[in-house]
Amino acid sequence: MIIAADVGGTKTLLQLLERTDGGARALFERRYADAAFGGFDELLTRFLADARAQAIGSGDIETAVLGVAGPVDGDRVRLTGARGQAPGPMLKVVAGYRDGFKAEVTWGFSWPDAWDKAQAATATIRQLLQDKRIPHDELFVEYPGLNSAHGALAPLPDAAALNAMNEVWTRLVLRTPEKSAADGFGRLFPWLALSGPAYTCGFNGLHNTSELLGIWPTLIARALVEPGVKVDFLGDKA
Amino acid sequence: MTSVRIPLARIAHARSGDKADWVDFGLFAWNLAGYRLLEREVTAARVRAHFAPWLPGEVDAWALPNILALKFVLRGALQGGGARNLRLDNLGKAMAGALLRLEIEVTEAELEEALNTPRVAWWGEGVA
Repeated sequence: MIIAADVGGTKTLLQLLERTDGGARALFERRYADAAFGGFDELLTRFLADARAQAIGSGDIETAVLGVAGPVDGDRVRLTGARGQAPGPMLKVVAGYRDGFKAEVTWGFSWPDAWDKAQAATATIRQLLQDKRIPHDELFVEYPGLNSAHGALAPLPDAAALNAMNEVWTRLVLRTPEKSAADGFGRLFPWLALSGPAYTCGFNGLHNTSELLGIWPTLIARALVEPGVKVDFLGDKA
Repeated sequence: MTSVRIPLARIAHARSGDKADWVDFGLFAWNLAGYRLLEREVTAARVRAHFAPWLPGEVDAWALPNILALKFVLRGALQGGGARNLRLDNLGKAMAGALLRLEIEVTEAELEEALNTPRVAWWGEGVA
């Protein structure tokens, strides 16, 4: 197969051709704006990917014919007419990093005194975490149906009204640097279901550890990144 | 002239979501009369004070008069980012509703105008 290209200062036209008895036949053609690419190699990569996406051009490239509209100086060609700005010196990075584990339990308490039951159960869990010296950074508590959407900005009814509610749901989430602590969090609860404040349902927290990822948005010098950029195609092997 | 305190929900709608550890808010008026009230009353300082009891982060604000909107960014609002936030609303999507709880003071005439001026519809519906 043959690649033919007409490289201009603002646009580049590319064709993929196959040989025929009499000459060549175009299989695929695309036109790209130069400004969208950092160099001809990027543009060529994109063209081949676009061809591949349409299942065209699986054979080897035997020849490339590049027409460039500008004066030649050794192995360089000067193109004119391109407009735009040089790329900035920095690239934006959104980096994730491993930052501990969480495990959570959500359960509901029923009328009467659902609010007091929820408070007593949570106090018991806090005490257990302390007594068993379970390493953790925080025990996060919220009440779905009451304040999980707006946190401290959601006005709660007074305790009497809360205790008169049909049910109060409590979500407890442990944040810990140790996976084993997260794995064991659910085990603090089964005995409470039998001997603690009567709960309704929803408890299903024995094995739900998940890893937490911090996020670090920052900038990095383009020159540190671009020389190492490698593009892999997820083609036939994927 | 008599003034009234109203939550933003009376004259505005909003969207919010995560930008790393920041929550990004779009606060939209329904019409120009409402936008003038938002622009006058809803400053970065007011938004910061509103969230301070819960999320005491810095707030930046931008005006987008061409779409009758204000944009706010509340920093440090997501426990370090969506993927380490323990809240059920880990991406801060429900926080737009919390912004609409913010109360502002307007005259009765201003409120009347904001409520009674037809809503601007960007997609060709209901434009008066």
